Amino acid sequence: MGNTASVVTSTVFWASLSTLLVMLPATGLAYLLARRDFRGKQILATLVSLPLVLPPTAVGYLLLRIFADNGLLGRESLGFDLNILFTWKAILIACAVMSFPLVVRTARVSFEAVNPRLEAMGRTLGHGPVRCFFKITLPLAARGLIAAMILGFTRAMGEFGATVILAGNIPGKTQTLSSAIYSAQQSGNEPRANLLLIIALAVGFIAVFAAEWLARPRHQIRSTP
Amino acid sequence: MNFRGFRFKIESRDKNVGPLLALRLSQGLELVETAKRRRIKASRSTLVATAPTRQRASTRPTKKWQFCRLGALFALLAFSSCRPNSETKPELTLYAAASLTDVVEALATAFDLQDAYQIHYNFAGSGALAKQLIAAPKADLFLSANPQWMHALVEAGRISSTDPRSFLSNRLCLIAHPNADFKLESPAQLSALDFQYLALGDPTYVPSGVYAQQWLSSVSDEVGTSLWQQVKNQLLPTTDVRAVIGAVAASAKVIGIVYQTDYLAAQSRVQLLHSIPEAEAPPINYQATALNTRAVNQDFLEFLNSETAHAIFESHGFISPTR
Repeated sequence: MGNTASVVTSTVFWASLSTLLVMLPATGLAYLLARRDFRGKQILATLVSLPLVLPPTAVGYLLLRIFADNGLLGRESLGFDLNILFTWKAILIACAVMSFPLVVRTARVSFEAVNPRLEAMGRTLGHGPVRCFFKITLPLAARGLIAAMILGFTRAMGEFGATVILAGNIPGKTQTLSSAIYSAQQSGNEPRANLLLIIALAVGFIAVFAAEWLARPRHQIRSTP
Repeated sequence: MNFRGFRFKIESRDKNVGPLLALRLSQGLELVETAKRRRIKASRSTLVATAPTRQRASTRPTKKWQFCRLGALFALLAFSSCRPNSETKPELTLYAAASLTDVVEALATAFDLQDAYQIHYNFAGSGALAKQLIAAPKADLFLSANPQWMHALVEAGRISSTDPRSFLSNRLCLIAHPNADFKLESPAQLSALDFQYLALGDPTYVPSGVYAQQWLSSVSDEVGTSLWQQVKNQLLPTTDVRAVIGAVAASAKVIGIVYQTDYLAAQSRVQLLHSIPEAEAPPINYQATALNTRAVNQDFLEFLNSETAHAIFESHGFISPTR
């Protein structure tokens, strides 16, 4: 079914794009939370995690209030129209907001797992903070960051509550894998629902397996000569 | 990670960098080895801030306690949210089409159901409700906005074909955002309006959407193209008729098709664009059925056809079929 293929490819595309969008700011913020101490750190960490604990529909409703015509970023207050509601841009925003905390939290843990002594050592050996980050911290945290990326991607793939409120469920425009399954189930189109379910299972399995594989413990550590 | 230990680490690092440089150079390699394996045991070197090490060692026994305390907290939460079942009233579960949301509650009050029963309502698109009832018939009464979903229940063997009774009608209307300046003189000009989306209940399973599609297909412009063909690529399908109101209220570029009664219930949030005359639209037929043989079900179904009920329906903008 051509429609099914396009639903799957566009969902994967949107999820990937939102993951890419999220990755840079989330990594930066995770590093900041893991390595720096500043006023209001706990508040910032809590605010960032909120979409993870709020019901997705609450996030969707909040975003709808923001992007509605009379909202904070709506047509009436901006003077021009961002044209976000019920378009693919709304999907990106919903997915990015929902997966952001998951990426930040996972990345933060992987940064925290890097021994700060190693960074300090790099500094004493003449590396600047930036070079230190890219040469020591980032490579050591890489596996965790990849796992964070995959988790963010899967969250974006499966996102339903916020997406359906902000972007709707428009076949051929803003229908994602999850909303397509919902529509197929609700309308009683079982063959389609089953097909989409199998696809969702396959995509989910691959993503989680990849995350597991990347996060597997490395028993042998090559010793430096 | 422990906050205080961490701060200590940063400070010690920054302050001691100079004097420690020589020492580090000699011990660097060994340290890399140790740290890489993430051995927490302290190497003897003075350059390693000892605070985090000590802290990790000391948190180990308390961690178990932390888990216990957290577990106890969740257990407490779970128990405290279990309400004692002091209500001895019998329960009554009523599944009804989303468009009936306000009127069914008014009916239940008029029928004195509120006092005698602990009523559980489930308002959603009739298609969604029918699917739920086919999966598990956990309702006493079901009020559907069209006969098709009743038929699905008959086919699934949940009710017999003589059970559903028609009890109500409605009419469709076009709505827009209160700030939108759309003018519609005749419905044939609908596609000339500069709207982005036409919101309607998903025509594959939401009755109001099915009715809307039938109406759109029956109206043609002068060339003979049906409205449905013209707006097909601008549809915004929703899960039930009330969600159309939400979509229209959010954006001035979205118009929608709902029942007149939904418009009346949400007049402050949307404006009427065009009321579709009953004669032009497909007949809208609400049906009710009982899913088991409790006596109260039959009484309620009788009540739906009473004068009192008709008065309530009409006050909400519905059309009684007897008229």
